[in-house]
Amino acid sequence: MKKIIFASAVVMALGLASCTEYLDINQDPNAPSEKDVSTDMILPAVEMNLAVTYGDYLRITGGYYSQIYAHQFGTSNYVDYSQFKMSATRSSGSYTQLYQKVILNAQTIIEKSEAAEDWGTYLAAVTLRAFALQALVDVYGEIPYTEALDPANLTPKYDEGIDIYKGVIAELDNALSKAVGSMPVATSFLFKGEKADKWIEFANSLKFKMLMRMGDVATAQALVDEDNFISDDVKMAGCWKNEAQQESPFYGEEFSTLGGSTQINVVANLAIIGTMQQKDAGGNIVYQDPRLVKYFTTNKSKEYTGNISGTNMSTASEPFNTTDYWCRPVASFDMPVYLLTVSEIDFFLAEYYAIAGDAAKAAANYEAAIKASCATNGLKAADAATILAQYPYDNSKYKECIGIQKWIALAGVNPFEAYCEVRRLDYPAFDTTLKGSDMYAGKGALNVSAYKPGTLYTPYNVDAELGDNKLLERWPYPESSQSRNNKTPKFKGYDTPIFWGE
Amino acid sequence: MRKILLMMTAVLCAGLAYAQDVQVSGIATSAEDGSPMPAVAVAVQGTGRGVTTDLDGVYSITVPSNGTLVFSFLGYDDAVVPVNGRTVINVALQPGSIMIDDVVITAMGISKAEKAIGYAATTIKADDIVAARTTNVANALAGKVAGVQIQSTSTDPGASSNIIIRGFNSISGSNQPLYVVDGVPLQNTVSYSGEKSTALGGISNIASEDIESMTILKGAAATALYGSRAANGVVVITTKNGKKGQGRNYQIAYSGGLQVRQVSVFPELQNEFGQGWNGTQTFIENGSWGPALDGSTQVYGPIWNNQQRIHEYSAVPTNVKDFFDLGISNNHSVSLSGVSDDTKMTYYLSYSYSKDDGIMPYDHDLYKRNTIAYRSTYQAAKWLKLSSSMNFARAKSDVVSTFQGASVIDGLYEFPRDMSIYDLRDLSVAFNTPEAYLTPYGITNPYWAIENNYNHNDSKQVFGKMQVDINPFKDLTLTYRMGFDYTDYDRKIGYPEIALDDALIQEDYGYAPSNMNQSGYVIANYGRSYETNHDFLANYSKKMDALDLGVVLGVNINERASTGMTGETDALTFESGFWDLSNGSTKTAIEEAQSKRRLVGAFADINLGWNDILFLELTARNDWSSTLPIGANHYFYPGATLSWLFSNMLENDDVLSHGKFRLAYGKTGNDAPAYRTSASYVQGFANGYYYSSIAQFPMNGTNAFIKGATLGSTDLSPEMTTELETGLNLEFFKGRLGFDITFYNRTTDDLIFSLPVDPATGYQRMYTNFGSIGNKGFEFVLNLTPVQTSDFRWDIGFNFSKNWNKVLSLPEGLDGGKSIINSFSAGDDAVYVYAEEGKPLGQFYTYLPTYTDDGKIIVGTDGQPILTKEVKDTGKSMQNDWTGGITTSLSYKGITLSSVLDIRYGGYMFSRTKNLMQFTGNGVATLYNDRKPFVIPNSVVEVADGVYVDNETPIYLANSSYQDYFNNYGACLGGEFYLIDRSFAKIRNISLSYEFPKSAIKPLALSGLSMTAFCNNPFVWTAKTNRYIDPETTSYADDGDLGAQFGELYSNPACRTFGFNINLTF
Repeated sequence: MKKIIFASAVVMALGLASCTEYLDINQDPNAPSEKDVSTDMILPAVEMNLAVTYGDYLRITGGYYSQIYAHQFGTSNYVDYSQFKMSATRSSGSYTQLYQKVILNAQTIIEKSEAAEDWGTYLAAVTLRAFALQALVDVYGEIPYTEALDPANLTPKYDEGIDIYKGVIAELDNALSKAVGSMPVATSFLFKGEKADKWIEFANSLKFKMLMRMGDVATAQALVDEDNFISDDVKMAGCWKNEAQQESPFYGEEFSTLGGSTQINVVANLAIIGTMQQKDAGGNIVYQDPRLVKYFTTNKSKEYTGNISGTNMSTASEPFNTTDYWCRPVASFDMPVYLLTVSEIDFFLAEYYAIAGDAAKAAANYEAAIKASCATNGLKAADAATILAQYPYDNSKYKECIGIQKWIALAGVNPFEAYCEVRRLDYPAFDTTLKGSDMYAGKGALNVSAYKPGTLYTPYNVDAELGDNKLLERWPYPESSQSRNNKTPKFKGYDTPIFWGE
Repeated sequence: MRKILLMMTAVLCAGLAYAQDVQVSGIATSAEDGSPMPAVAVAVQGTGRGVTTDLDGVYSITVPSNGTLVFSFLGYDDAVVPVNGRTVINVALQPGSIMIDDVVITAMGISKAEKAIGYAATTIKADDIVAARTTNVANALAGKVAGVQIQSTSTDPGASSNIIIRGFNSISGSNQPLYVVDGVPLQNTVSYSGEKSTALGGISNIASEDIESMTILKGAAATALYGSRAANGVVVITTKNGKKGQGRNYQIAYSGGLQVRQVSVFPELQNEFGQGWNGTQTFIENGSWGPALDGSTQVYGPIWNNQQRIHEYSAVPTNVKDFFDLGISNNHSVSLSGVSDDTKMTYYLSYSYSKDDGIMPYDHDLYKRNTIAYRSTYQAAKWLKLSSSMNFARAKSDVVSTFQGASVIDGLYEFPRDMSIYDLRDLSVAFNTPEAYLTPYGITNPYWAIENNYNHNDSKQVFGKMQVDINPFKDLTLTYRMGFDYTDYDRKIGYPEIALDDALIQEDYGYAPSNMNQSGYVIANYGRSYETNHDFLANYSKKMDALDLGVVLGVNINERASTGMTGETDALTFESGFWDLSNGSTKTAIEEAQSKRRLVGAFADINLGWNDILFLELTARNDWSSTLPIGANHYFYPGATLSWLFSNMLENDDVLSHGKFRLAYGKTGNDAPAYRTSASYVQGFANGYYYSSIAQFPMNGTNAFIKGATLGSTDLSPEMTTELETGLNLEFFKGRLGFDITFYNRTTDDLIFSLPVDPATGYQRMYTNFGSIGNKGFEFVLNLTPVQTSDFRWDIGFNFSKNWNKVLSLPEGLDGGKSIINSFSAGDDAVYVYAEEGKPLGQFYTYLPTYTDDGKIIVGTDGQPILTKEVKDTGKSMQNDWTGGITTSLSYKGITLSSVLDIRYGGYMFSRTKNLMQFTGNGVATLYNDRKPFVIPNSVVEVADGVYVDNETPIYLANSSYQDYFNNYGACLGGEFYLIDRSFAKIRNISLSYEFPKSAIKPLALSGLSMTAFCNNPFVWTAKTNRYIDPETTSYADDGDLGAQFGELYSNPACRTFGFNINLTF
């Protein structure tokens, strides 16, 4: 017996001694270790998440809210957007994706590249982070910023939009001060194999866009003088495949069947169609924007038809209650996701010079913007001339000229940015004499003949709290923040503009 | 009991008298048929000494000449016989009339006298388990145990079951008990797919005929010795061991039966309006919002190849019901059990087969299981005993998924009321396939869906133990036990491609069938998981005069691991039927998942008994877990129980035959899930809106990683459950009337929780310890035998339990101290269920109508209610108010009629089926005001700030506001319209059995023959407002057992089973 007790004691002692080692197995075998993950491995995922949120959800909502898109007959996935409604839950996933996947991982790259003094990669991460933060401010107005990204603080306070803009610009300035054009940058989809020079142009252009949103032309002057803006559109292109989970996101979401969805939702809005293809009283086409064919497909009868905001026409008469009556956006699996286009920078320059009182330079940049827009869409100078003949620049109405043309230029490439700029420039303006309910009675036919090109209209069915002749100026704070963070401010109301729209 | 008291006094006196020892021998027989009874325990009262009878019922024992022998055998009354100097004592044991179970198998497979236990433990015997005739034995407990809620996730074949003991303790972890079979913990392996959970291993693979008894240990004190995993209670299963037959040393038993399954609960459908939308007839709509049915002849569906279908525009009341067929199931089991001639060895070998066919047509919902079990014990030497148990199981299941899409149930519930589904069986007709189906709006012919969707599971399980018991000297037993459970599964899911080009469609009425196009996919998922346990136990017991001492010291080393790999491919080449990864033309996703965890526990258990009156048990355990931060990975928890058999102190009387008071205090610690102590990276992906993971790396030859959405914590500590329990057990009139009442108060602190956080922190969730949840309540059990004669007996059992569940605290900063458990959102609708401080776990929130101060409904200019912009508290919770059960059995000369009623009262759940009934216009609720225009009663519209006038805007069909009233405004209830009362009363089982008299079957060389006819779930009563589903159904099984309480999403209807069974013993 003594032997047994002795043997047991030995076994127990040995057991306990090796216990620590025996139990030290809590490293997830399915995850690479933190120290082995390099910035090369993170940057493409940051870009991809930004491209997906920006090029899919924000594109769709921006399109509905700026009357570029309307809803297909019969389905109802986005009818609320076409009624200028937004709920806290609807945008929650995108807020989450931008913060958790884009901003956090960009922050990781910033920390890693700062430690390695890899300033080219540092600038790239700061720029992408700035881009995502700006997009969030542009819909919510206020978001957590100074107290964000701190797991020790579960209730980060919301900062004012203007302060976030200023903070982000300071971050860009800091990164720009460290980066030199010849520096290498981690693996990227946006600028493959490029050095930091492309990122410097992108950062400058983004900063310029933000300063113009802020109306801070004084600060913008140095950038204009330096004139080191993007010379090519910044876009995610060439990385898409015609396979599940590899398609350009807007196409994957709304056109492809690979994701399991069979719903067709997004069709052209009568406002954008009526502006890009103008008809006389007899129904003859008197003007057609050359970009129309690049933006929208024709319907079954080879015509351009735009539906009305605010309804899915479920009670309309034929042919309005058929799916093939409506035109859909041109989309393909490899369509680029545009983050920033040369045309936008030119429009901002036109605006800059208009404010500065230099009408000639303003006009020149307005023309350059339209040419750049045509170039983006694979069109020629002659096409730009057609547009300019119809919409010449008028410095006395610079906001209206720029507003309408920017809306058109962005309609096919970046409807989200169109939504932002329409809110800021207040053009296209609402036709206060024509409501959606004047064009469609809730049943029967849709009559678009009273629509005036270059205007917006109150949707047939509009969110009662927003009211008539108004854009949805801001979104309710996202549910994923509201329900978990008691520092979420009181909602300012759907018609309260973001600081740059005041 | 009176006798026992008498004898005890006698023995105590005898002890003082120093009587002379004599050798007594004899034979024990059954009073029922006079057959010899082997393995009867023969004990010398008051000494702890004892022997067992051999195969021929013979025993021999040394006993003081004035001593007393106690003969006991499970299921028989104890025979207490004073020796009075005799040397030969033969006894005939009477079949049991005392209802209290004498022996309870407790922690670590140690059996204890029931009297010594200071906590509530309920044992269900083999007969009751077999009588329930459920393929998954967990379901056999339903309605029988106070405070235990058994919830089958559905009545589909092979569906898994959740067991919740004394309420929910954990918000994000499992609330399932630990299953222990013959001392060996089993894994609870469940497969989730298509919103279904299918049992792959664990308890579901144990044939009910192999089970001797099941004991449910509820309290923390009872479960402390099992360690961390017992925090939610333990289900202890004892299997059958080798037994002698009648007149020979083996017996063969056969049990077999046939069952027929039939739909029981079904949504109530309207029969007045037909296919259409907004009151107008359309030919391709997926619902019945059309004009009133008038019996006229109408066309419907698209024009395909110059053909169109016609039908009579009148109701087909049973069209949906007609789709289902009877599921014919059968089961067989045969066992050979025996004891070697020298009685040193026992063996038990069994084979069982079960086939369950569900209510879906053909064999598309099918569960098949084969099991083989072998158990043996061998007394190698006086001091050495070897035991082993080996169990093999193979289960195959075909599941009919219930999720939206081209799914069966969605296709049925959205089917217009004026058409016959049964006539769509022939899939060679284009009109019965997506090519020209009567609606292209997201649904298709259920017959086509059932034929072309595939969801198959094939699992194998091996489990068992090897055990050595050594008695180095008297009173000490050293045990080593190695337990193992290995489960392996193959799963294939196939989703057909639909690729239509509308070439033959002449008229699609505005929405072409090609809108149904889908790329299809194949998912292959292979996995395995294992668990091993090494137990070292030292068990010392000693009787010292009035004092009984028992000490158990032990160490448990546990390892659990799983590995899985999933491949997926899309854009199928063969549209359907070839479910292989090579079928995909575009992409093959490969994912792997591995997990391993270890736990080492050391424990001690000391039992002190005094004079059979007072029993004190002290337990303590320390665990070391691999899932906790390495520097702080151990935790200690103690327990103590007291049991006072006051009836043993009382003067003997005819009224009170047993009285016991219990008091128990216990703690149980619970560690974290694996790999939650650090942040981790995952392969890069991005989500679209409806299309999740719309981008998945590698992309274009580039791979990437991002930080996972959940942040681990380096300072996780274990959850601690503390429970205080007290109970009183009284029996009167020799067990004819007995009741047991238990009060408990349980608190779980430092919950390990993946807390949803503002993504601005950089994460969606964070692992952390926070908050506490309390469950307190009482359980009441009453057993009554109103009539008992030699031929007739009537037993009734009632059980009632009430649990008050409350979230005691949640961290500050969470909005209003609440955290989300589950949710549903679609378009503008959203229903959330929260854990909220100060409220029962699972509070429903949704958009609600707004009212003026004087209680009028505020509507907009469109005449529809204005709903709140944010989700509001409905004041409704997922928790039942109380639960109860009634069991009854009447027996007359071998005929037994028994029944079990299970009642759950109160609480709410989310029901998508309910919502779907209004969305499609198929439900009876859509007949409101005969679908004529109406103005919402008592409603006002705001004309200026705070100024309201009576609303006069009507709701009517033509402008779609009538439909919107139901679909967008919840018929003036907002999102609350999704909720249904989850109360039900369900007869779980009615069975009528006949046991043939021994004399009648002797000529057939049988020692037992019984036949049973039964019906499971024959009736379900639901709340008046629930016209939709069986509220026991859940379809959120993969959201955990608490998350699954949320409700149902397109669940298949419930069913009832009729069956017949025969049992033969040779």
